[in-house]
Amino acid sequence: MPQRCCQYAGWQLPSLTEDYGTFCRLRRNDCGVTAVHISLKVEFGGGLELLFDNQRSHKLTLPARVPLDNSTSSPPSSPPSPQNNEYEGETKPVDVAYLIHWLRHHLLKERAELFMEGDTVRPGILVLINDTDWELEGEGEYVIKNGDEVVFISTLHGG
Amino acid sequence: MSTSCGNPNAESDALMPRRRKFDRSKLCIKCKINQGNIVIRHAVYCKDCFLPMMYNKIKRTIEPTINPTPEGPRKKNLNPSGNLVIAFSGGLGSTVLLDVIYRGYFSSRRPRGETNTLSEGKDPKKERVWKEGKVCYVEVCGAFHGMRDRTDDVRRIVERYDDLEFVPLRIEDAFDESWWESVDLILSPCSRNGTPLSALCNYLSSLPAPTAIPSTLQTLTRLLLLHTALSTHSSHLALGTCLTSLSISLVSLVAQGGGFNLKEEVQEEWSPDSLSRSKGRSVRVVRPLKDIVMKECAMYAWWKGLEIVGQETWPGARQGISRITKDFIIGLEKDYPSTVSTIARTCAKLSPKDHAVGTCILCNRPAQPGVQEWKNRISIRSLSTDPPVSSEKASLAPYLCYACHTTLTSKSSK
Repeated sequence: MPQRCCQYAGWQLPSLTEDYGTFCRLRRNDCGVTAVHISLKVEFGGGLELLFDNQRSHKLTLPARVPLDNSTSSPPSSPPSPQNNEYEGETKPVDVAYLIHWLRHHLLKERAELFMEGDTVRPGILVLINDTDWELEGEGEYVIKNGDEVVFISTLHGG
Repeated sequence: MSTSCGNPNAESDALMPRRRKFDRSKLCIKCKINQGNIVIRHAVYCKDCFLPMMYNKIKRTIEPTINPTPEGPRKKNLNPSGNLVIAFSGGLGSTVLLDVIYRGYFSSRRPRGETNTLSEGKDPKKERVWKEGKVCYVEVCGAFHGMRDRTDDVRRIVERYDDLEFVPLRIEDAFDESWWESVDLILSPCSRNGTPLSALCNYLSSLPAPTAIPSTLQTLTRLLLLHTALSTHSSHLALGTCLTSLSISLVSLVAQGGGFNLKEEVQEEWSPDSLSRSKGRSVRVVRPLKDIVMKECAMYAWWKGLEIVGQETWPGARQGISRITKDFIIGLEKDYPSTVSTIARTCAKLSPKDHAVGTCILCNRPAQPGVQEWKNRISIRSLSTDPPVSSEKASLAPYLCYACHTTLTSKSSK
């Protein structure tokens, strides 16, 4: 059975020659989202790269569906099933809120309090999604798509 | 403790809907064609409209301050009485300021007095406003053990801008007699052993509270910049203070007893003494980014690919009033972006009740009367009921403004 790529999408049976596990097409529009993983680019600016091993640009691959509570300790144990009522409740499409937690736990080398405050980025850090202010894209609730570019810029260096 | 509001009609699990961060739609409010790229105080701008909007805002702030006397009803040509010094700290604001000023007033114009073609004539709009421009950086690593010297990083950035001279200074120059002589200021000879750096460290270690250290360094930096500007025949000293930083410094200044100088914190006309002022030797301190919030500066720097050297956090700064104020206002700006401009606007409406009775000998800003009398009234100086006997020892106290007096005497509660 083909896997659903996100809760908003319909799905259709791919041809017998297609690889079930890697790609799923939407009935309404082609979102190009892989069923299992999402690839994206993350960049840091304004001095924030110092917290991430002094590396400005990172290419990441994240699971397409992630725990609802943004837990980054372990991936979902079994492939989701449409018949599984816990699918909708336990996981969500990977979004920027999850990305922030993931960066905190897997990429941040030091001084986590300079990057995160509570469940989001620290005040004074701007987030751009594909060169657009994340306030225009729904902030942490923006669902990340394959090939997206997310930039975190620190404004805390003052005048 | 119950968290319910008590309204029986309200759902117990209801959450207040999050307020939108922008008004109306996601289309740019200027061109109304492109999708917006950035939200500034609830207004949406696309990238193509944002950059010209920012240039125009900065132009409207700086150009009225260029001519020696304010403009009348008829707009005059821009004709400053001297050169320009741009103060560069390595931070976001000064990096943006340097780029904007260079693009708008140096690289896009020919040097003053030079005419390329006969047909071009002497169009003032194509001529540079200031004859010379200098970029001044004050390195503070000498004040803190182990702090990295960033002068070379700053030099590398400034050298990308042709026709602007780099003038590096060090914070310990404030204790170097030869530096003061080089800027034509003759000091009374004093007996002091040791280097300027050791004098600086002794001075800082004798301050009574952690808050006093960043305040003192700001005062010394400001004085070094002002005297450098004066000695280079500069009529203007441009600082990269954006609206967010300005609001932080205004609130921080009031918290540390500097409310008498709120107007000077925004813009001031400085002279070292009354004689210089009478001869017209003065430096106008301007803040061209004072209507630009930090977010706008960050987006400008990102879209223009500017490199930010950054500013190192001073050890112990977390305990200071300036740092606490900064954390508060930046947190406020995130959820209530209009608050930051409200702070600056409200402070601009304030004026001191008393007239200045002179100039503070430490910070060179107007000093209010009755500082010591006020301090005596609000504090217990002695447990004895006898009136205090005035000491015959010479004291700086009568010559200091309230803020400097507090900086030098107010002890930490810890």
